Amino acid sequence: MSKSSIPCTKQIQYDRQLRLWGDHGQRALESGRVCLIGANALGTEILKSLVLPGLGSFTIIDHQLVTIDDCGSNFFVHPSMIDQSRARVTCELLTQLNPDVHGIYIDKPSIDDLLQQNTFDFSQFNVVITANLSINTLNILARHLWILKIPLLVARTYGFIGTIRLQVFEHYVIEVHSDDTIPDLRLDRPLITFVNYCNSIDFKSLTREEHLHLPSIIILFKTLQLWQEQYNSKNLPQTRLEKDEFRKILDQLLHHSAYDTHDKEKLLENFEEAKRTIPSRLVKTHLPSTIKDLFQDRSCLELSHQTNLFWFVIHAIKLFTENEGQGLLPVRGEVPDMITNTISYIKILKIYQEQATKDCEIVNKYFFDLLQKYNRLPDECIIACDLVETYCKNAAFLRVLRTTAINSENYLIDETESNRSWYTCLHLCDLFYEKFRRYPGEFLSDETQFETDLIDLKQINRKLDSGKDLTSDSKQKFLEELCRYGASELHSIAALIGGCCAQEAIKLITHQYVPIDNTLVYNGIEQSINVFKL
Amino acid sequence: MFASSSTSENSNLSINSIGKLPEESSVLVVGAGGIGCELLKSLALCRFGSIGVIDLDTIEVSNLNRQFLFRREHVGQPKASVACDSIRRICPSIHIEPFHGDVLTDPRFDMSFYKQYDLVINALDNVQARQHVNRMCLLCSKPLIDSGSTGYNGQATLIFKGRTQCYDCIEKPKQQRTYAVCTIRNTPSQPIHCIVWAKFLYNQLFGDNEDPNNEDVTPDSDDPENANNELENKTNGHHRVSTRDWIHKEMEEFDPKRIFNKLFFDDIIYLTSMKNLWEKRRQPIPIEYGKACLVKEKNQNGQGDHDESTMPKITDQRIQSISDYVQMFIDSVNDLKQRSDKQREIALTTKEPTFLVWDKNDDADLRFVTASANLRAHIFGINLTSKFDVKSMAGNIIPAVATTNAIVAGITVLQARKILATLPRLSHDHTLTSINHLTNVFISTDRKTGGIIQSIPLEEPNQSCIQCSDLEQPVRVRINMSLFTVSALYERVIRNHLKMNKPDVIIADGSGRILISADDDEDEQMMLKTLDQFKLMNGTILLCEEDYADDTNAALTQNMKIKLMLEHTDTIKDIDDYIIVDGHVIGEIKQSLKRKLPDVDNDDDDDDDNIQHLDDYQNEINIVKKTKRLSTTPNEHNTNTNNNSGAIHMLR
Repeated sequence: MSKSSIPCTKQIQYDRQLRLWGDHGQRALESGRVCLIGANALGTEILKSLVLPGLGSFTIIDHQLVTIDDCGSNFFVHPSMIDQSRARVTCELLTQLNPDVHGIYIDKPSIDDLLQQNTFDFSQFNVVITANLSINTLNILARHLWILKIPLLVARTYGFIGTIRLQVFEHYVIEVHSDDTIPDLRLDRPLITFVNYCNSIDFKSLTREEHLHLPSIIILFKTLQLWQEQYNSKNLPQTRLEKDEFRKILDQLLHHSAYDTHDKEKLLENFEEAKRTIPSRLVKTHLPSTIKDLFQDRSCLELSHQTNLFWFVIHAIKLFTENEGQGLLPVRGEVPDMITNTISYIKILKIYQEQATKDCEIVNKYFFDLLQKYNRLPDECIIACDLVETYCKNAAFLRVLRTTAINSENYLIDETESNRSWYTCLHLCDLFYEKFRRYPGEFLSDETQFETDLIDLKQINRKLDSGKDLTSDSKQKFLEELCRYGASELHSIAALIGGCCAQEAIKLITHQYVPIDNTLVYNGIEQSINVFKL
Repeated sequence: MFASSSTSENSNLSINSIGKLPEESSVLVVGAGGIGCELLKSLALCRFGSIGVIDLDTIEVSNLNRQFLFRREHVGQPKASVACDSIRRICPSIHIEPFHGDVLTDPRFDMSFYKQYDLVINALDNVQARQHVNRMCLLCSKPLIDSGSTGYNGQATLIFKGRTQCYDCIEKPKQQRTYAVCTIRNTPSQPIHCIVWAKFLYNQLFGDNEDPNNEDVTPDSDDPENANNELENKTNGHHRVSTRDWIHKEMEEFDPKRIFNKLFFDDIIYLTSMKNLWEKRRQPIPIEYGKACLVKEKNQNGQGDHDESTMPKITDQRIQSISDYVQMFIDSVNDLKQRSDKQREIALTTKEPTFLVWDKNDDADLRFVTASANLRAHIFGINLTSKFDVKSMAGNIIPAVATTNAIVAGITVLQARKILATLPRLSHDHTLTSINHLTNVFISTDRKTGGIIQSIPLEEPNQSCIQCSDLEQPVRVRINMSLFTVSALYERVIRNHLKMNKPDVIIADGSGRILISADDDEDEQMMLKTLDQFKLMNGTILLCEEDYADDTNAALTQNMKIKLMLEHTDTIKDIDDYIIVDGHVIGEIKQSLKRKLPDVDNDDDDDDDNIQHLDDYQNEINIVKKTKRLSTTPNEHNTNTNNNSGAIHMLR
């Protein structure tokens, strides 16, 4: 069959994911810059899952040459590439996946030298990712990025175990994509324009046709007005008794003079919908605790020349809430679908949208006043203009994530969850590496060396436990198992952790969805994942 | 705890090696899409010895955001072969074989095909194919991993015949929701109703006229709600011409404006005459072509941006005005009419179909459905839907992203290795405990904390599952589906061999379709159709079910169920020929029937011979030979197939 011309290749290529993070998410991803340190199986799997959806650009830092071991687990190298620069060959194959993505590599100097020279600019990246980086280098890098406030994702696979650790000084989540959002309709604190519109509708003079298509939200509000009048209340019905009375009034409104007796026995669709939606429509409008916390955050209260624009918007919203908003956030301006005709629906939608626009303009004004007060650059203001609207719409869900620094990790905390023990035990392997320049069980010369490695590893454990020697049985087993792995890289574990890590990177780049806080451990033996805070 | 972590490509991990090594095993991957690509890569790098890949599709641009074995230059080529080529380039030593074909219908994929493999992995995107592979794996006793993903969610579940739940043990929510015909044709109330109607309309105008599922879109006066309106129906009888009949007449001079007026004016006027329907509903407002062109109104849906000035969206995501949709309708109808004519021309000289098939990725197809659905929505006062959203609603588009697929595939391959490690034990231990270290895994990567992966213990099979609870072997009949008729199936196989009188014959593909009903008289036309016209395929199981009244006690009825599996072969050229592949199953059925109904069975000696005959043949080659002989010697043929002296006389 002949096909007509394709409207936009990019739109089609990314169609399936646009449905997850939208155009603006895609735009953010397309301008995203990622640095990967370590072009091993894990590293290339992470980049693969970022290049395919259309990341802006990536930089691979890796000074190693391709070995035969790489060919066994890394999809982006080939036996014919042995002894070539691993950064170069993987960079070439990865960019082939998606011509829209720009990839560069650095194979000289090594990451250690780069860090020592301190001339390489890591602040150009949205996120830096390490794959199986040794502990010494990681510590230096982590400290460096903490100061630069650049997010760091530390990914690792070790036999059947995989881990991801996120270090981020401050990350803003703009769109949480929560499943359980209650529409922002404010029937208890109604918009004046909405009240006026409702008051203009007189139930008694409605035609049969109009009555049939009265939107459920108006039915609910009319009922509420009558109920409040009857009970001399300004609140929503709360007790069971009050709610029953409310329903009774609703039932009375259902009758219309133009209906015959036959009609009265049937339930009308719009009234049915009104009844069904009582739990989600008749809710108290309040200031969510998440945004309250942000209002009280030091960064919000103490704005300065350096403060991120995020806090300027938060402060502007705070000013709105304290003044015009009368304790509430800007109106979201969205109206859920309801059974009614087009004209009525648009009428209501317009009421909420107009209010949302008005509220947003006020926030915008506060925002610009603040920017001026703190001498922020005018070009920043232009970028920020779009932001305010998105922020206002998502005000109830805005969040800030701050993790601990990797260098402050405390391995002594004894763990209850088994998967957390794996993380601790991996740290012991790192200490082993520091001492012997190889991982326990790696490069075995003979069977007996496995035993000596295990003994050495246990020794390190005892030292760390400050000589208590109270190592549990399970921990003994863990150490034995890790020793058996010998730091081997399994492709299926690399693929899985690669996918998880890329997903976290996308969350960080798009500011959509909430990233992990802050450590993830995957256990391939039991097929389980735990996330915990370090 | 660590027993499962036994086999690996790395020497460090294979110390406690037991079970089958990946290098020695063969895996069948069904589907080379998002998860399929990831699976093939992981299986290859985990050094699986031999891999088979089935995929029906060719590569599309929208695959490229995750199906990394394909590039832009591959668009249009078969997925299976391109995927295998890409894998071979990285792992030259691997044995990997592509099969470009439909797992549901391709005769290559019979039981012996599945039996070559140690393990089957589903990486499919639809329920029907999943159910089919599930059935085949149950029949062949092959372990199956069913993997899948939707947006941020995914799963890898294990299916072992008789030990775990099979794919059909839990009823699946219908992937493609069906709507009442009356809602679609008469009383739509949601955008989706209009979209479904528009897709029906497409098929009426340009689709397969022979397809019995091609639904009419004209007002349906049989609407139960319209019961009191009979008089009116009669007076308006002339309106009951279906769109298809009407269009056949119209196609000659083909005037899109006239089609517009018929659909959006005449039909709507007729609908409004069915007064009962509009008692508590808003009556639709018919709109004529001339007037519709002037409607600049935009009727908007509830989500997203609404103020155009702040709407940086792509045109496809925008709601357009009614007049725009009128233009879109006229343009797309013209485009499609042209294409339809061309298609008919092409069909004269090629094997291509004479009709068009709706495709969500085709722009004209999508414009037609978007325009028609929105015009109808306007008439019924329903919110309009953007082209972008129509595409996802009409095309059942499932969001997909590379990250989720990578995670699902990583888990699936690990599961595969664990199963292989367990295989030797499985052969002599048939309990769930032999595999209870394995789990079903569900993932959702958008979660805030924890729970990204959940391991759920395997569950025992559902006792009443139609697919796996009854582990009796089906009677396998080998036929040529494009020659064998329903009538032959009924007379020769069901009545003659299965000795059933007038059973319900249900197509056990999850659709619940009934091929032959015990209660109704057969439609002669229908009986003369060949089996492939019912979209029955290789491996389809028919469930023949009949109740027998007990002569001595009317209150007692015996229920008899026999499974019949259809196997397609092109080698049979005679329309009446068929082969009962494993005759001993019939013998067993007969024995059980004797136990159930001791009275009805006596004078069956010669027929017994007949069955015994088949029973003697241990392998299929002999049976094929016999058929060949039968087909060339009409006498013997007759004795075999027309032997109606039933072994067991059924009570009429």
